[in-house]
Amino acid sequence: MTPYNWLMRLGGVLLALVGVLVVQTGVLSHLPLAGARPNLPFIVVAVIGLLRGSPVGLGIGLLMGFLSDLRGGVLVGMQTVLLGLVGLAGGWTATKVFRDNLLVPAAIIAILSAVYELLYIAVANAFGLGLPWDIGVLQVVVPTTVYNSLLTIPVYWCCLRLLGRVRQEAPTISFF
Amino acid sequence: MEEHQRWRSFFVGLLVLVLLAIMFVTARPRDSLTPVERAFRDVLAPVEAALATATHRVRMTVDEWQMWRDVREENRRLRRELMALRAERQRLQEAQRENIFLRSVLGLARETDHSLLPAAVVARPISNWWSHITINRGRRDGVQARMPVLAQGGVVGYVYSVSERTADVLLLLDPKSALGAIVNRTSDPLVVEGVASLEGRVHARALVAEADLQEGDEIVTSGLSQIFPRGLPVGRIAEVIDTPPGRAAEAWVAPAVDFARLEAVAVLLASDGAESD
Repeated sequence: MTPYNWLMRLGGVLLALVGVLVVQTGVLSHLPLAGARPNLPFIVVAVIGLLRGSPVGLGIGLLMGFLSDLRGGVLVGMQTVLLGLVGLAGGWTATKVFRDNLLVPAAIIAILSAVYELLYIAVANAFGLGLPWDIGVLQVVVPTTVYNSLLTIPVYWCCLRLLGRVRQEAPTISFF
Repeated sequence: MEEHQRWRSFFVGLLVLVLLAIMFVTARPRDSLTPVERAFRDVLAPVEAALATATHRVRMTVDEWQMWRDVREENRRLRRELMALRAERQRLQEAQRENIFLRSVLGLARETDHSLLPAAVVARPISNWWSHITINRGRRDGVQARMPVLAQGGVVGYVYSVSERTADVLLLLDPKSALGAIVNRTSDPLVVEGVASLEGRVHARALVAEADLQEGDEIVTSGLSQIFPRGLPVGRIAEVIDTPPGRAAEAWVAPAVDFARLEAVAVLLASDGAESD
């Protein structure tokens, strides 16, 4: 790949990630379900990790995290680290499970979402931001996890159509 | 190959160290954003504003459609007439709400010798842990950090970071938020703190042991916080928390503002003689 092509591709990826960010802050953050807002950047990073493997997941996670931090990070750098880890974990999980059923990615992302939110509290508290564990787990982690996993199904389907899957044959999708 | 691995480990280590350093620096409260953050927010703001407006309209349409369906099921015969009346009433309510808001804004501006700058909510945070909003007014409109933000009903929060065209407002609900308040009935002083919860309530802690808190009590700002003027409505006590004898009373407060449907706010600009931060 020539440097020009490489730069064009990077620009396209950055533009797409900014688009995801804007959809989150401008649309999804205004549509809470039981008070919880979904986290589209998180879902996209996890899904790309699942579809493209750890190295790509890590790269996209770091980029998306950095953009999220620039847009409105309370603790700049935290989203970069956490979303990088999410992409890495998504890619690692993809090597361990059978993903051809749409409910499998939804279940994986539910688990990743809960871990991500718990890590978020831990890191925020390590830097003295004082998030409560008890109320937080019940009233934020659980509803956010449910909302994220519900949104995973359309996001995974769209990403699968757009990206396909690398190093594997074309997948089949079913709900059962 | 081994050298490649070594370089990769070095870069990953360096990246982690840099990110930890940035996190350490930004963990402290800060009034101003970095130039990169400011520029990024200003570039995204118009797109976010357009999307937010479209989302509000769609949501309103969905709400109205649901209402219309309920009415049809309840009384098919009066559907047409009811729809016309409802549309008319909605227009009137909107005008009345606007009228009340503008009157309160005018009254408040006269009372506090401050001027109010209307603003629209253009973005909300990604994470559920924090409660802040982005408004479409920034430094070029005269907005500065620590300016109070109000909406119809009462206090919304205060501005905590500003870019050229936007400002981030820390809501009362945010766990980092705390403001001085009093019980309107007794003048007992309180601290009202945000909690990381999705229930939309805030926590109030009395500052005197003998404070008398009762359900329904109105809470207003005390004027001691150097941010909010005295007497702005904060909310009403929704539930008094049982505390052991000798400990100051605590309560859950239902905010005066509906944060879930916040679309328009007003920034209380400093008066001509007021000092700015």
